[in-house]
Amino acid sequence: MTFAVIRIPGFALQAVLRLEPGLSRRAVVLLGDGRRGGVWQMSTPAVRDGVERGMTAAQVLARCPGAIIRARSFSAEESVSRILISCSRSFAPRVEATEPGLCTVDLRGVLPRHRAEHPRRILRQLAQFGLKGRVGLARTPALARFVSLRADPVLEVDGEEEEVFLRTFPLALAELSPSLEARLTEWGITSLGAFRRLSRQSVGDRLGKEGQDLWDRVRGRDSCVLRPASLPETFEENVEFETPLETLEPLLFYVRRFVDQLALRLADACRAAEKVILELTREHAPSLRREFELPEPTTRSEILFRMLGTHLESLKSERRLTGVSLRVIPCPIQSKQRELFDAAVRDPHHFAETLARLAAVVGAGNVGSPRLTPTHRPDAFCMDTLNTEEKDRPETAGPPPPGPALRRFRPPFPARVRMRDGRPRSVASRVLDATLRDVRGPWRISGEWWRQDRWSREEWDVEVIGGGLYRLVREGETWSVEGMYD
Amino acid sequence: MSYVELHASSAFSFLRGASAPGDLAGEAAGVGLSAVALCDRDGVYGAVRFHRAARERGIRALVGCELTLEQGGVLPVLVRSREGYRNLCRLLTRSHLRAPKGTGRIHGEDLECFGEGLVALTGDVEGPLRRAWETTGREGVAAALQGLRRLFPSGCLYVELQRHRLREDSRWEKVLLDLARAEQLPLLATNGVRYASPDRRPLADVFTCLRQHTHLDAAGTILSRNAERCLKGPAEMTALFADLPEAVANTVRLAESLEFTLEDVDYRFPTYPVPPGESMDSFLRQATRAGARERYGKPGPEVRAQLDRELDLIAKLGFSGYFLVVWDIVNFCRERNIMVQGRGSAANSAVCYSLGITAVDPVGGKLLFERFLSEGRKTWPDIDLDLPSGERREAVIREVYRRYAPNGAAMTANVITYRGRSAVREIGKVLGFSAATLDRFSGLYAGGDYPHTLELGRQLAQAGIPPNHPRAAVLEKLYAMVYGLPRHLGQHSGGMIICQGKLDTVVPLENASMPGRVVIQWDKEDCEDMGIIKVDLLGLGMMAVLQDTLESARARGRPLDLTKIPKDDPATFRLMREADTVGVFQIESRAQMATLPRLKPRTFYDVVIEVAIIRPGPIQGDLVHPYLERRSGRQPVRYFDERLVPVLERTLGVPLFQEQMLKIAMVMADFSGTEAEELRRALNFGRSEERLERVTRNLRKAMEAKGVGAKTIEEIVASVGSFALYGFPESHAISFALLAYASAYLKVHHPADFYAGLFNNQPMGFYSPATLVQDARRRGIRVRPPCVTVSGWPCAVEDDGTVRLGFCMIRGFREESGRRLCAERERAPFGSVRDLLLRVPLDARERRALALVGALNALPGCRDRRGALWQVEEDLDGMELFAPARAETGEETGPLEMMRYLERLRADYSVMDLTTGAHPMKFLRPQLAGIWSAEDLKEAKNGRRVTIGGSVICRQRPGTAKGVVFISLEDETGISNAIVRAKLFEKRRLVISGEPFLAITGPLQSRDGVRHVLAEQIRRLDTPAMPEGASHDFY
Repeated sequence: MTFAVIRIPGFALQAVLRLEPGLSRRAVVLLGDGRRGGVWQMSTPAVRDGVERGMTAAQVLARCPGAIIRARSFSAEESVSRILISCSRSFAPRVEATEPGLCTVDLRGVLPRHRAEHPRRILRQLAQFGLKGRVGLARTPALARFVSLRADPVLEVDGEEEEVFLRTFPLALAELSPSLEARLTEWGITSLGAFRRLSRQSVGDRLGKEGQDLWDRVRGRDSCVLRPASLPETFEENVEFETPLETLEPLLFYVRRFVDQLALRLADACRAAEKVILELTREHAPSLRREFELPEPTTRSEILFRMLGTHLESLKSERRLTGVSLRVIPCPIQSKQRELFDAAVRDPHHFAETLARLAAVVGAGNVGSPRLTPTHRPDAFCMDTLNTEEKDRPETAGPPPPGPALRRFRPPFPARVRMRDGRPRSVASRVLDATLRDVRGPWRISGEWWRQDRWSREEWDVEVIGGGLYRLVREGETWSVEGMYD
Repeated sequence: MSYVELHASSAFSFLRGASAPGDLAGEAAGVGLSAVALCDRDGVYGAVRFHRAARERGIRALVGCELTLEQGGVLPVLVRSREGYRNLCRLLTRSHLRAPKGTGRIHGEDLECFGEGLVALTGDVEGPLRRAWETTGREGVAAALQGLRRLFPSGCLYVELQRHRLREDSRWEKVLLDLARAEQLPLLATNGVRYASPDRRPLADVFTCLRQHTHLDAAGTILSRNAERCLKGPAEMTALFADLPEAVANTVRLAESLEFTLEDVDYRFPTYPVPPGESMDSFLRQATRAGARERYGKPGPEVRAQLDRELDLIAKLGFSGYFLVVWDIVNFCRERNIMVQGRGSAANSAVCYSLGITAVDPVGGKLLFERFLSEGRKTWPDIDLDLPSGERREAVIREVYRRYAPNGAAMTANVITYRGRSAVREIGKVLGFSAATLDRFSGLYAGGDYPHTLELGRQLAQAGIPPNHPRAAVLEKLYAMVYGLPRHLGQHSGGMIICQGKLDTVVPLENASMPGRVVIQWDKEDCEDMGIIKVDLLGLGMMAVLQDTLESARARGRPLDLTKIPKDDPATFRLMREADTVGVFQIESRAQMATLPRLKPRTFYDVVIEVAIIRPGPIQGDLVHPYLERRSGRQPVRYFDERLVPVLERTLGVPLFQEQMLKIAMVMADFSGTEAEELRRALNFGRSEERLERVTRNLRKAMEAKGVGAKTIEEIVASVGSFALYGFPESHAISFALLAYASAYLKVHHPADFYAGLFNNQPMGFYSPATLVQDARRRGIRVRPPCVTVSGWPCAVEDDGTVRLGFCMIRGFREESGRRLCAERERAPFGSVRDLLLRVPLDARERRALALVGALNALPGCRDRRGALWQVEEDLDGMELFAPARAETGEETGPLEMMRYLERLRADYSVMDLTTGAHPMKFLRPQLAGIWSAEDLKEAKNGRRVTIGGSVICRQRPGTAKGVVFISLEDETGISNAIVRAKLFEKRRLVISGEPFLAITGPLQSRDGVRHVLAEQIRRLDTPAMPEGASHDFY
C-alpha cells in the first residue's frame, strides 16, 4: 500500500469534547451550522439512545432526555486540525489535509518497517491530545479513506483483500453526497462492492461525473496526487507547572523564556506580534486572561517582556498558579512612513507601557479615550483604547443645542429640594442653597428598561433668587444639582 | 377646560401603535376624554373596533388617518363629513391598489381630488413640516406649509403641537408658533398617542426595533426617550399647554365640527334588477312561491303562513334585494353544475329553502325563524354558502367579482394576531436572545403553545431560559402585552363583501397577496358591526368529494341523486353505530367516533344531534354525558321547567342548540325579539365576556321577575354560559348532518367512487391519505398504485371494488405533466419506458417518482421498479444514438436487483406518503410481542392492562379538555385510541409530539363498544428504517 489516511472520527464532536473531558461518557450531541441545523455528530451513548443525524434538539431530548447539546466550536476544530497535520507529518512529509479531521499521507519512499510502526505511534500521539484516531492504509488515497472508516484503529487492505473489503463495505458509511447516496439506495446498492460491479459507462450515463468519480475511486483509479498541507502559523507557548507557583519570580522566568522563543519564531517567519494573550491558570479558580493590543507590531522581546512584566508585577491572585500560556497573534511586518502631519507619540511602546501601569492602578475599564454611547442616557460614555496616532475623529455629536451651555458637575451634587404644587420651590446642596425664582420643566427621559441598569429621570431648569441658572435632576426620590448654565 | 385627543394610533398602525383600539377607548374613558380620533397609519383598520368600544364607554369615536405622502412625511387627517369619509376611503384605496401590499403612498394630486371633507394637521416628528425643517430649514417649512394650504382651505388645516416633556420640543415648537402666527392658522394640541398608558411604552420600543430590523441593545437613539405618548386627560393636557390655552380649546371646537362618525357610513347592498312593473319585494315573493311549489309540491297552510310571515319581515327590513342576489349566485352555481348549500342560520328560513339556497325544510323541522331574522335585528342576516373547495369555488368567486368588481366586491380581511411561538420569537429576537435558544423554543412547542397546562415561564425554562435569566421576566411581560394585538392583515377564506356602487367609498380596499384579489380593511366581525353584508363563499372539501363521487358514479352508469337517497338506510346507520366513519363528514373525529356507539344513531335527527353534541360548548357545560345517559335510559329525562317540554323534548331535556337557548329565554324570561337577538350575538363565538355577562344578567333578572325558581334560574344560566364559546344552531347542525349522512351513505353504497373522491380532494378532513387507503382496504376496496398505462391525473374508479390512484397522488408531479402523459397515451400507447420519456417531457424527479412507485412496470420491456429506475436514469440525450447497441447487450432491463417488500414500502412513502400495500406495522408485527393490535383489542376486557402500538395518525388536544391529549395509533388491523392525562403529557411531551411510532401502556376502558387505553406509560416504538406517515395534529 502507498497511502495512509488518518482520520479523527466524529471530528467536530471530539474537538469539543477534548475541551470538556468530563463529557466523554455522556450522551452529547453537536448541532450543525445555520438556523435550521439539526444534529451533526453525536457520542456513542447518544446513538444508543436513538439519536440520529439531522434530528432537531426537541427530537433529541425526546429520545434522550439527559442529552447535552453543544454547538460546533470552529476554533477547537482548527486547533485539532493543526494537531492532526502535525502528527501526520511525523509519518511522511507529503501530507494532504483532505478535509477537517482527515489527513492523507503519501507513503511512497517510507521504509516498510516504518509503515507498520508509525500508525500506532501517531495514534498514541493523538491520544496525548485527548483525541481518538483511526488509520487506513491502501494503494490509493480514496481506498485508504474507505479503509480508515472501518479501521479499529488501524487497518491495511491490499491486493486480493481489496475486493472482499469493498464487497462488505456498507454504502451508508461511504461518505457520499446525500443525493448520490439516495440514488444508489433507490437502486438497492447497499455496498461498494455492488456498486463496483456496475459498468463505468452505465454509471456515468446515469449518475454523471459524481457517479463516475465514485466508480473510479472504488476501482482504485483515482488520482494519487496530493495537495500538500501547510501548517497554519501558531505562535503559542504554554506550560503546566509540576508544583503550583506562589511567587512572581519563577513566573517571570517562564514568561521571559516564552517571549524570547516566540520573538525568535516570529522573526523567522517574517511576522511581528500584533496582539499578545496571556493566560494564567489557577488552582480551583477560573484562569486569568489578559489581551494586550500592541500600539505597533513588534518582534522585540524586550518590549514584549516589559509590557507583560509590568502587568504581572501589579497582578494579585489569592490562588496559586498552575500554568501559564502565552499566545501571539501575528501580522506581516510592514514598514511604512508616517504622513507629514501625523502626530504620534515618540515611543508608542513606552506609551502603551505607561497606560498598562495606569490601568493597573485605576482598573482596565478606566483608561482610554471616552466615546459617547448611542443612548438617550445623559452623559453616557464608554472607554475606547487610546490610539498612539492622533487622527481626525468623526464627529459623533450633532450641533450644540441652542441656549446657554451647561457646565456639568461631575459627579453631581446631592440636593434636598422642597416642592410646592408639584414644582421645586427651594434647593439645598453643597453648591447651591437658595429659594427658586423660576422653574422650567420637568423634562422626562428614561431608557434601557429591558436591562438591570434601567434608568429614569426628571430634569428641571431653575433660576435662583440672586441669580444663577441650574439644572436639577430627580432620579427616583433622589435629587441632585447636575450643572450650572453659563 | 375640556380637551379632545385628535391624534391617536392603535396597534392597527402596524409596528407603531402598542395598544388595541378597545384598550385605547377604555383608557380614554378612564382619563375623562369625551372624544378621541383614531388616526392609524394608512388605513381605518381599527376604526370599527374603536367605534364599538368607544360607544360602549360613552365616548365619541372620531375617524382619522395618518397618510404616508409620496414626497415624504406623514400627514394626519380627520374626517369632518360623510363626503370626507368617502374621500378618505378613495384616497387610501388609490394608494394601496396602485402599489404592492404595504407600500402605498398618497400623491399630491390625490389630495387635490379627494381632500374635501377632510381636516389636516401639520403632523408630528414624522409630519411633512418637520421633515422639511430637518432637510431645508425654515424656508422649507414655509414652502411645505404653503403646499398644505393649497390643498386644505382655511378652517381645514391646523398647526399641531405636541409636548412630550422633551427639551427638544421647544425649539421646534417655536418654529411652529411663528408659522401659525404668520399664516394665521389655528393651533391644535395633541399628544400623538401611540399607546393607552405609559406602561406600554416598552412594547412601542419593541415595535420600533422590529420595524427597523434591529434589537434593543443596538437600537440606541431610535428608541423613544420617555413614555409620554400615552392618552392624557383634559386636566393634564390643559396644564401642559397652560401657556397656550387656545391650542387645547381648539381641540374641542374642531371635534365639534367633525360631524362624521362610523354610524354615518353609507353602505347599501346592491339592488337586484327586476322586470318592469316589479319591485324587488314582489319579485322575491314570486320567486319564493315558485320555489315553494317545487320544494313542497302544494304548500300547506302552515308553510304558506310561514312564507308570508318571512316575506313580510324581509320586505319590512329591506332585505329583499339581498335574498335575490344570493338566489342569483345559487342559480349560477346550479347552471354550472356546482353543488351549493346554504349553511348556518339561513336554514331556519322557509324562504331560503324555497329559493333553493338551503336544503333543510325549516317548517317540517320546526326550526326557529327568529334565529335567522327578527324585527329587532339591526344587522344583515348571514347567508353562508358551502361550495366544493378548489376550482369550483374559485369559479363562483370569479363570477361575483365579474358582476360587481372592481369597486363593488372584495374579500373581507382576516386579522392575524401576535400569539404563540411567533410572538416569542419576535420579542426574543429584539431582546437579544440567541437564534439557537429561540429555535429551541419553537422546536419544543412545534405542536402548539400548550397554554392549558404549562405557563409561559415554564415553557421558556424548558427551552433554556431560566426564570432568573435577566431578561426572562421582560420577555414574559412583553409577551403578555403583545398577545392578541394585530400583526398583519390577511385575507378571509371566503367572506365576500358586495356593495351597491362604490365599495371604495365605504371602506378602503387593498391588494391581497393572491393576484387579482382585493381585500377590505375590516374583518368579518367589523363588517357585521357596520351592517355590511357578507356572503361567505366557503370551500368545503366534502362538497367537492360528494360532487366528484356523484360524477364518478354517473360516468360509470350508476347515476345517483343526492336529494333522493333514502334517509333511513339501515346500512348507513350501522356504519355510524360501529363508528366506521373514517372519511365521513363531521363524524369522523376521534371524539365523534367515541360517541357514535353510545348514541347509536337510528334516524336522521340522531345524526343532527351527533353533529351538535361534540362541540366545545356542550363539552364544557358537561352536557354530553347527561344526554347519552338519558338516551340509554340510565338517567331519567327531566326538564328545567315543565314549560320547556316542547322546547327540549327532542333533546331529552338537555339544551343542545342555540335555538333552544333563545326559546328558553323567550318562554322563561319573556325575551322580546330584540333581546333574543342580543342573546344570539352574545352566544356567538368571539364576543366579549362583558356582553355575555350583561345578557345573562338581564336573563336572570327577567326570570326572577317572572317568578322562576332560583335553582331553575341557575341551571338555565349555566347552560347559557356553556354556549358562549361555540354556539351551534340547530339549522346549522341539520345542514351539516345532511352532508354527514350523504357521505356515510356514499361510503356504504358507492365506496370506490367515494374513496376516489376523498383522494382527489386532499388535504381535507381528519385523516391522511395513508389512513384512508388502509380504511379502504379494510372495507374491501382495492387501491391500486399509479400506472402510466391506465392512470389519469385524478384518482379513478376501475370497478366497484377498485380505485386506481392518479398522478395527483405523486408528490412533486406536475399536473401539466400528468395531463400531457394522458394525452400522449390517448394518441398512441407507449411502447417502452424510452418511448414514454421521449414523448412526454418529464423532469428527473418526475421520471424517478414514476419508477419508484411502479407506475412504469406495465410498460413493455420494464421488468420491475428497479428496472424502471435503471432506465429512467439514463441520459436521454445519448439514448437514441446508442439505443440499438444497448438493446442487444440486454442492458435495458438493468443489472439492479428487484425491490424487496420493505424497499417497496419505503419507495411508496417517499413518493406518495402512503402505500397501497400492507400497513408498515404488519412488517413489524413479529417483533412486537406483547403489543395488542387494534383488532385484538376488541377482545380485551375492560380494565385489563394492555400495550397498544402503531403509527401516530392523530394527536388532539382540545382546548376544553383540560390539557388531556387524545392519540390515535394505526396498525395493520385498524385504529386504537389512547387518552393521555395532562401530567403524563407534560412529562412525555417531546416523545408524544415528535415520535412517529408509539407504544402506549395502560388499562383499557371499554364501554358501549368504545375502547380507550388510559395511558400510564408512553414510549417510542423502535421501527428501524420504517417510513413515517403523516399525523394530523390539532392543538
